[in-house]
Amino acid sequence: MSGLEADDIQGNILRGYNFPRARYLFARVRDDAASAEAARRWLAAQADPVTTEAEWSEKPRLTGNVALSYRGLEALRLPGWLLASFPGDFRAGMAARADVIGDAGDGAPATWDEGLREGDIHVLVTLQGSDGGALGRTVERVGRDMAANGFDPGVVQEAAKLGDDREHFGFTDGFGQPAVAGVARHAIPGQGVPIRRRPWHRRRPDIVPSATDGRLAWRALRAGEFVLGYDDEDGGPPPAPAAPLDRNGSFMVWRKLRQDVAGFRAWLADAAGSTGYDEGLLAAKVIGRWPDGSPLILRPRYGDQALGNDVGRVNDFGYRDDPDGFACPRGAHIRRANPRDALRAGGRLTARHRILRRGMPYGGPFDPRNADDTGDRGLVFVALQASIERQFEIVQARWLNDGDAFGLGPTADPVAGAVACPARQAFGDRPPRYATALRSFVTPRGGEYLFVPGITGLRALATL
Amino acid sequence: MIDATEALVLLARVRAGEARAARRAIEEHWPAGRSPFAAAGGTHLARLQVLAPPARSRRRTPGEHVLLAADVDAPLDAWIERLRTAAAGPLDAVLGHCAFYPGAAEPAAFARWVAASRLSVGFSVIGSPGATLAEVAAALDLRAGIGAFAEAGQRMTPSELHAAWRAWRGA
Amino acid sequence: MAPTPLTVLTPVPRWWSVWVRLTWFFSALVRGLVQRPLRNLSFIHFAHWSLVRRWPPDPAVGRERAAPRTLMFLTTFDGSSIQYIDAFVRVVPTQIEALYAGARGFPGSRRFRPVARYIADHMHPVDHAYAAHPDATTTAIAQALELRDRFAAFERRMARVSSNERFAREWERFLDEVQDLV
Repeated sequence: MSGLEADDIQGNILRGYNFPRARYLFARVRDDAASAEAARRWLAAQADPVTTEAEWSEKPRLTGNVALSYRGLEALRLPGWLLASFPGDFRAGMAARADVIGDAGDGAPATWDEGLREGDIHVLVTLQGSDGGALGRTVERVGRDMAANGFDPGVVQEAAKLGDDREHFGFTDGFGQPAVAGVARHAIPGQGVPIRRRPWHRRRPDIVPSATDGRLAWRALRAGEFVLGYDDEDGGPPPAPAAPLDRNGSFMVWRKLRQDVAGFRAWLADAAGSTGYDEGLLAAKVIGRWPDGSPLILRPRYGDQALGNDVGRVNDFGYRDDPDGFACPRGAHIRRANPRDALRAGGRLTARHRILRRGMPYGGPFDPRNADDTGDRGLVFVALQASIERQFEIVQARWLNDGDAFGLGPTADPVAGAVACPARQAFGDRPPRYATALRSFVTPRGGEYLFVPGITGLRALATL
Repeated sequence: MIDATEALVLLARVRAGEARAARRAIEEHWPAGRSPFAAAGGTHLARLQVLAPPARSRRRTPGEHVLLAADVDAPLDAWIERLRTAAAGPLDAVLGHCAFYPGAAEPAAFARWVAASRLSVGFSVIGSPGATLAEVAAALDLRAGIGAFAEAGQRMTPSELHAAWRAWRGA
Repeated sequence: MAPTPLTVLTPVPRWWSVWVRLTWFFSALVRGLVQRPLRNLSFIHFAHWSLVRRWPPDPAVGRERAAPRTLMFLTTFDGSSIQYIDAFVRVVPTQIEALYAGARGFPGSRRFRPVARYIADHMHPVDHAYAAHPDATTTAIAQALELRDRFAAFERRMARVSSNERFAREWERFLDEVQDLV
């Protein structure tokens, strides 16, 4: 990675590990000075074993990373001047921001799962790997270690990829990510900011031309959109906490999202009858991609597995030629989550609201032979950004929970977590079709806003 | 073409030492959710606040003022008179702390005071001009109705659709 | 979600206030050129600019140093102030420079953070705000008004249609035409 202090940035932020399993260990710091001190020393000691963005000569069997909530930082008894330097959204915590992000009704903080509620989460230790047994044993060892060092271990959330990188509704997920300047792996068309192609772009390493649209090119986003201490799209480093936590850290949104697969499938069947669309096409119109990953904007009528597997082309598209949403509906999930050039002013009003996603499904696969299978399954949603308020919260509140930016009125995306009232989905066509989702098929079950410190910052916790 | 809406911006100087009382009066007589602006009818958007102009120097902070601004159904004069009659109490409670304010009891004196306190608006950008509040409400309702009819109509035969249309539009 | 009101007061030197009044005079002549890009930022219910040349005095106070000439900006918009400021900075920075370049302390309109700080330093919390339709955004209102007109024309045409099949076809065609408004 050029220009980035890879050794000092925790891993899985700029480049995903791509392990198939994860364990998320939550813990609280015990409420006494001795425990706070022990906990700080324990966290500082993790600065060495924690996995960073540095290049691997050989892929490790297991990775470990650490994140802290504001309550956790308080419980560690960090100095007031340092605590006060954190931004207001992070300090408030996810539960307190429920009004902003639409966590209401069945997804309101008061209903969240035990151990994932307001105040439950001080520290998150994320372990990832391929071997479930090794992960399980490591989780136990780390838990015991933490218990002996000032922590009260809490819940452990397991997660594991389903086959083919799919999520529980059946769609391949996780491969549409922002391209970050300086990270070589990211020079892929379609991940960055859509810009008008110019001849001098050939000399720019952060710009890659589109292969599907001769007028389009993709510019990688500045690292400061995701990692503190580097210039962001506004031309300077983003607001950051005070030193020594000011560099190489990031802010994480961790959310457990329960997916009602049976409900989604039942709604699709009913809406297919009403709209006249085939169920598969309807599902694709709700998501914006076919289950194989190929985007509707490029394949409006049928999926294309080859395109879905082609990393260089699968994200190489804009929406400018489809303003009415005939190919990909204006309210489709991926179009809302990353509007690309669909808003006014090209891609300029999207660039500051991108998020890196590093989540993973949880729970066993849905059994299609058992239509009433209401087992607990869904997505552990993990997003990383420099500003929770500007990035995650705006995507969730203004684009997923509300359709006004796309001319759709106050209608929410039914697979993104907050349908407070019935939401009529509009499918652009001649004539258009409509289907109302009475409720969301995705429900928040808990989580928190967390800070992922850089390695130097982590180490410094012992002496603050 | 006559615009359907007009803008009013007025400034009144709060008497020395009474700024806090004016703010308390807003809290008490202008509660969020039960705004006296609603009672005037034809009020699209409005605000009321106590503020101080920028200071030239830190030592001498200039006195505070009440700002009242509103975007309303034309004609403005009619709205001002409606506000005066519907919200006399709340207006007096706040503006009573201002120099030269004659009170809301007497229509001509009130209108004169408004004219004298008005700021001209030099430049405006208006999101959707050309409709009164009642027209906006009706249009929003109609839009919801069209969406519902469009969705329900998907499942109907042509004769069912036409019958539903007649039932809905009273045709 | 109710729209957000914002009141920003900016001291301006006399020469700048003359320029501002000139631009307003000319923009009245070239209305569309200036207003359209701003109105295209469709989350603005309204934005009003006024020049306060002389703040009203208090006769009970003796001679006091007059408050400076002030550019008063009143706006109400949908969504977050982050997006509002971002849109001004990214989409219409030239128009903002034309109004604010000469204002004391104005940091330039091309970057979000300095503008956001400037606004935070010069904004005055609105004690009481009212919106007749708190859930109706300016986009929705504009769509609804245009849809109303098109629907009225459609309804008039359909009064003369008796065939069910013909009505169904016309309804589909109407929906097709107005689908970006519904």
